[in-house]
Amino acid sequence: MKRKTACFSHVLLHDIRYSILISWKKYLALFLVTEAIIGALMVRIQSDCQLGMVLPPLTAGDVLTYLLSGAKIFRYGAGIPFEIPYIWIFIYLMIAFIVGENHANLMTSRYMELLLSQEKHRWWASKCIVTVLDVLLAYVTIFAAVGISLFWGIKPVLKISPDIMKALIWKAFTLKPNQWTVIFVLLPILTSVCISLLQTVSILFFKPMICFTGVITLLVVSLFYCNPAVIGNGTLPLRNTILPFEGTIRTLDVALADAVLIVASIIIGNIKIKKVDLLSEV
Amino acid sequence: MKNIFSVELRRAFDNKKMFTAWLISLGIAFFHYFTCEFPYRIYIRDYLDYPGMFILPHNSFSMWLGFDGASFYLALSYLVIPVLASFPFAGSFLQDKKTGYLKNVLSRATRIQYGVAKYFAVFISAGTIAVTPLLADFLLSSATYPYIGPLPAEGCFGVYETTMFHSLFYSMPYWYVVAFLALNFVFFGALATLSLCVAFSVERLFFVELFPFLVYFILYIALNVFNLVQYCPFFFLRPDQGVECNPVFVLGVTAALLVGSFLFYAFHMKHEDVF
Repeated sequence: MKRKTACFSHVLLHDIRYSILISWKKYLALFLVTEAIIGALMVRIQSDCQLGMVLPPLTAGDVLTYLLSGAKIFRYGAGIPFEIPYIWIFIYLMIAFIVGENHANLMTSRYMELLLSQEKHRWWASKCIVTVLDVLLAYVTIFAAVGISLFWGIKPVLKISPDIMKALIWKAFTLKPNQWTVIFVLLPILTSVCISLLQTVSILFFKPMICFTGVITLLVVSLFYCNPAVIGNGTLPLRNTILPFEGTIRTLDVALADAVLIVASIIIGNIKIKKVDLLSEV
Repeated sequence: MKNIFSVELRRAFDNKKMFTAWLISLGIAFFHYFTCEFPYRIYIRDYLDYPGMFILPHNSFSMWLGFDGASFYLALSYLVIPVLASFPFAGSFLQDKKTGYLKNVLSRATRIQYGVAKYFAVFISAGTIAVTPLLADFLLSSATYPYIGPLPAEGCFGVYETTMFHSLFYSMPYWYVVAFLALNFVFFGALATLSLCVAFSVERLFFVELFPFLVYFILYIALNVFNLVQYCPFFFLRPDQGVECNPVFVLGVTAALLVGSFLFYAFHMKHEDVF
């Protein structure tokens, strides 16, 4: 038992080390671009103030809400062109890129590692844990970028200013801290983990590039259809029923859909790995 | 030279990856046709039954994917195309190096012959994939809807006096379509050849294959952050022209990408230590 645990910890540590070694530049890119976006936001707020708008000072809550807000509900046929919110697509495609590249590289050496880990399900568990860590690290990077920008004069509180929200997202709203944490942080993280695990399990069946294409498609389709079954909607907090944007996404529905898909992808991956015949594959 | 070029072309087009890329790009065209074009054909009948009620009936241009900026298909196409275009063959140079195929070929052909053949095979395969959704959808919409030349007074299209190729669009609309297909072919073909350039220094296939998309995507994000979307390929390559672009800039960037990637690739190919 002790030996098995040791093997598992070896594989997991190898995966984490490899993942960080491969991905640190991508996290750095995520950090720098997030900083650039925050800089552009501050310039925008300053120019709005110079034009005569009376706005309160920016808070960390405002900046995070702006970064993670996603898009409102889209109505097809209303004469409005379909637009992709660039901050949102940047964050989630960066996560897909990080996860995709880690696993594209880790999967190529999978058979040797399978032998080392001795049990296939431990190998698969290690890959799933690394996927979750990749997502969490991406969010930590975004939070760190916001943390650094506190030195530029942003107030270190998570309170949202309705006036700032009106200037940035065209509608004033405010939320209690726990509501904000659930809608803007926890739910997007859960959905992001779900999408990343789906991507990871797909890499067992298809080429990593095709899986990446699948993630792009899923994200763009989520922007178009406001439905909790289209899981990307969990990353679009403005569509939540709590906020005044006519959204129809309920937190519980999304969390349930995500949980089901997370469990399904872990089980499917485990079954697939169990069926791999090492001798014929090597 | 001719022989090695035909071998590379056959390798580019006759593989499973190319089949998959074609399947996905045709899938986008077919899904668009069956969800956004085919259901509206009944309104042609309405136009004939109630003359004067509509300015113009739906036609092959107004229903085309290239002008459907209101559905998600056009935006999806322009995010997915750079990935699909480099998927079939852009990583082949790296694979040739890793598997030893390159050493084998270079004992039978010169570096120039192999290099030029590889470059143009990647360029042509990527360009072909890039124009597939737009071309397939245009053929489908032309097979369903009548040809009615666009009128400036109609106001259905985002092509105004200040937008690129506007005179071509209102005088010879088919040539406008051809011009945009050619622009997309050359731009995405040239973009995919960036994979060849990066394959000299990176050994990870996923990164090499995705590198053209990363360049395209970083440009998309950076130009959006600095509010310079008129210089962004995501917008200036689209036939619906949501933003006003300068044709000289667009053609210049495309030519610079093509020539720049070729020169970089040729230089490194000459000095690469293969053996």
